[in-house]
Amino acid sequence: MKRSEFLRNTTLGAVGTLFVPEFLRGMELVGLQSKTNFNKLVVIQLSGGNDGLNTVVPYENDIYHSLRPKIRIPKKEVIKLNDELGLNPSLEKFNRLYDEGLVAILNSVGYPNPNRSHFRSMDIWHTGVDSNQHSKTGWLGRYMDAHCTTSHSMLELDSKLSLSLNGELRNGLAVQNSQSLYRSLRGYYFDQVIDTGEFADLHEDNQGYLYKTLVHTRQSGRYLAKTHTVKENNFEFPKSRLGRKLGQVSQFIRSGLSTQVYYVSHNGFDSHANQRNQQDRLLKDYSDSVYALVESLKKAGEFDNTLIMTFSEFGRRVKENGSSGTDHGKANNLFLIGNRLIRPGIYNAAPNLMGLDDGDVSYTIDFRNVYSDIISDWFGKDPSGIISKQFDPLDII
Amino acid sequence: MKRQEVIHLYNRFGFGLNAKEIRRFSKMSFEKKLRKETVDELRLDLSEFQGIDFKNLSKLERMELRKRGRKKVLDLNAAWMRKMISSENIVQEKMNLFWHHHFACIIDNPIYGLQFTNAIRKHATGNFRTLLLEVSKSAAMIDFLHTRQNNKRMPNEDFARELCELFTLGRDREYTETDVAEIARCFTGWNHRFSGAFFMQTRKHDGGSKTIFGKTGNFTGEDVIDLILQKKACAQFICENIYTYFVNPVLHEAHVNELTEVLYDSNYDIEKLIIHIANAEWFYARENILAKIKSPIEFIVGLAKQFKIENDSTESWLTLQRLFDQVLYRPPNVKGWKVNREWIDSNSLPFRLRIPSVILTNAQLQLEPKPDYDANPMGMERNNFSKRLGFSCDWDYFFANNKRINFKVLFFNNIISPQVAEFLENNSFASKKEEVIQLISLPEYQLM
Repeated sequence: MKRSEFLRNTTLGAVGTLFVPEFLRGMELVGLQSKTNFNKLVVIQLSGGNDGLNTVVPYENDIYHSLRPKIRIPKKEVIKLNDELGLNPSLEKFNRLYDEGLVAILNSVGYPNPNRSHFRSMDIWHTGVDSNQHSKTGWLGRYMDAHCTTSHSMLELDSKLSLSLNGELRNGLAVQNSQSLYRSLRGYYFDQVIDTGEFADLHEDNQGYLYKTLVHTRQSGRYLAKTHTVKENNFEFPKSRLGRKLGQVSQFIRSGLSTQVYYVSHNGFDSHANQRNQQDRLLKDYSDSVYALVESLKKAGEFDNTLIMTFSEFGRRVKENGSSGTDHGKANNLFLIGNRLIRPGIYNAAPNLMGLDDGDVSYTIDFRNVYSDIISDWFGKDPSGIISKQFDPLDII
Repeated sequence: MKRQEVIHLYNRFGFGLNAKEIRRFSKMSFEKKLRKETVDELRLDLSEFQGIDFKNLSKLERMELRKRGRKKVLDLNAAWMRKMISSENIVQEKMNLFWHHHFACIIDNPIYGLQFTNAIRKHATGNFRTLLLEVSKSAAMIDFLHTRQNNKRMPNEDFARELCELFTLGRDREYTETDVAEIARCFTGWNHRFSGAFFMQTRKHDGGSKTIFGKTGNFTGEDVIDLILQKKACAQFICENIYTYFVNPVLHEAHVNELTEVLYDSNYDIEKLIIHIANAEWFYARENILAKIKSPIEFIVGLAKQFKIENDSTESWLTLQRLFDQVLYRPPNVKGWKVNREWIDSNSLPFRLRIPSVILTNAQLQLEPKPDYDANPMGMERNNFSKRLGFSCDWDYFFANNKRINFKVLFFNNIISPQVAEFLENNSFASKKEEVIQLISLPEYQLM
């Protein structure tokens, strides 16, 4: 028996579940997890609708070039991956990862009856329900309900939490850094009272619920502040907002936090006008930041247990609009990055520009198929109850 | 009425009272208070959006117009906020807010927004049938639930489904999938003009025979609404929603049944229903006092009323609403906003505990709301967001209106956790202001 398991068993055995209030129980286990023995997921959300066709470019496709006279990326500029698809030149470092066999590119990922509103389509991606359904819980939140005991099992590097991380029993935590949650209550007028922790006797009514949430928040805040021992980055991250966020994720992982999911947004992809500059800049930032994350985790021996998924709420129209930009579209590409991918490279056929759906790329892979595989193949858990539909495995992870 | 009762009554049918109002309203029955209130429609100068020949606008001009429209909806939002904060018609204002929860609708067009809001304002304490019909016929709802896409040849069931599920009967209660399909046929042809005016597009209406709830006839949309209202289940569903919103988030079967009878027997008279609640002894039972968690709007308006918080900037109100996660005219989806406990987690609670003191001391705010690309296409994020919301507050007003009252009574109806009560006993405050700020930073301030 490993030391951590032994400790865990004795902790529960000695204290007994009966005597520990439910909301405190998770705290007993904290900090015992070894630094590398569980799989972690980093989700990077490209918000605003990234133009997938100028990200992974069908550079030999005439339709692509003719529908995008102003914003197309010429063949000589793309970084060629095979004889039909190539990367946006801003993705130079991302391409290095690709060449190392660490990247899987999934084309035409989407869902039936797509919605072109940012808000609604993001909701659909967050909740994983059909586009005519609504849910108050996200797919990761439901995973957390079923398999995690604390809120800091899932962290979003942001000041507000996404719907993805909302569960029925608990929500993930939105933190800007290791201190922000702790500081959010530091100097709070009644912290002395809260620290007495004598609120377990409060009823299950709303008053009790508020105090319990407060105690819980303080404990999670302390845990993050205390466990975050690695404060330097072992690789240089871009100074951008995304770079800082991923640098923080790297520190968290290398500190051995028990967190299983890190969630990060990269904003600004809504390129209705003058797309090239804006998107290329954002993609370069993405590419450099992700490269830094991978290298930094590799150096610390943490990369093997980390999977990085990148998605956007929708792709954009194939035809450019009148202001050198693109409007909201449908299916899009999705990236998986990791050292244990079964099938790195380009997973499926390039988007079919001959058979467009009302001017948009149609989906051939349901995004929930990817979620489902992550839950079963990466986390080793049963996706039913978390993802409402059943899918055949894609056999990527 | 006893002081504790008055405070409770207007926490629920209002946004909280100051000591002066507590004294004034304790000498007045709820019925009398209601009679003194008037229907107060929102007004907004929308002349720049009227008489536009939309059909002949270029794509770019349309985009530009939509953008201006979305901005104007924010003005409407702010106008409503100010009305809630300053109006004497506190019961009406609370009912307006409740019905916006009930009829969740995302609105981007200021003309339709104003029409929708005023339909609610006119009938918020009137007859539910009229209210339902007006809201259903409003341009905002017709757009939101795709009623105009619903035509004879290709029915769209969106409105029919939500009418049953969210507005009248409750999910899968007393209606079937076949009913939904048949109901959709009855609403074919419902449409609105660019001006927002409702019209019936006879060409698209399916005048054939339909079978709904086992009854057959050439039903119209209005007929369907009558068929639904004939079901007691509809009265029950409305009363359940009213009960969880105004009385207690946990349903009490006997009390709901009692209310259902009142609503049904009065032919859906909303005023009768709320008067019945206000007069019911059980409404003032200990388990109902301070049993609800404030929604963000209730929280903001309550605070703003008490301290006369003002701001000329529309943007500040919006930032505040977005940080709290509740923006008027922008519910997350057709199901509406979160309720009660769903508002509270480890992320929202620290913010909600601190925001009153931040506003009252005009301190700096470090939290940035998430970008909203639908409302602000191509919006870029700002680095190092840190701003003063720029709200002004009036402490003299607060103290002048809250003389001779214990603040624990004023804010918490004297219900406070024993540990905190003890802590407060043993600590003295540097000033009255300090005491007030500390008290409204207590978890109990989240309750009403």
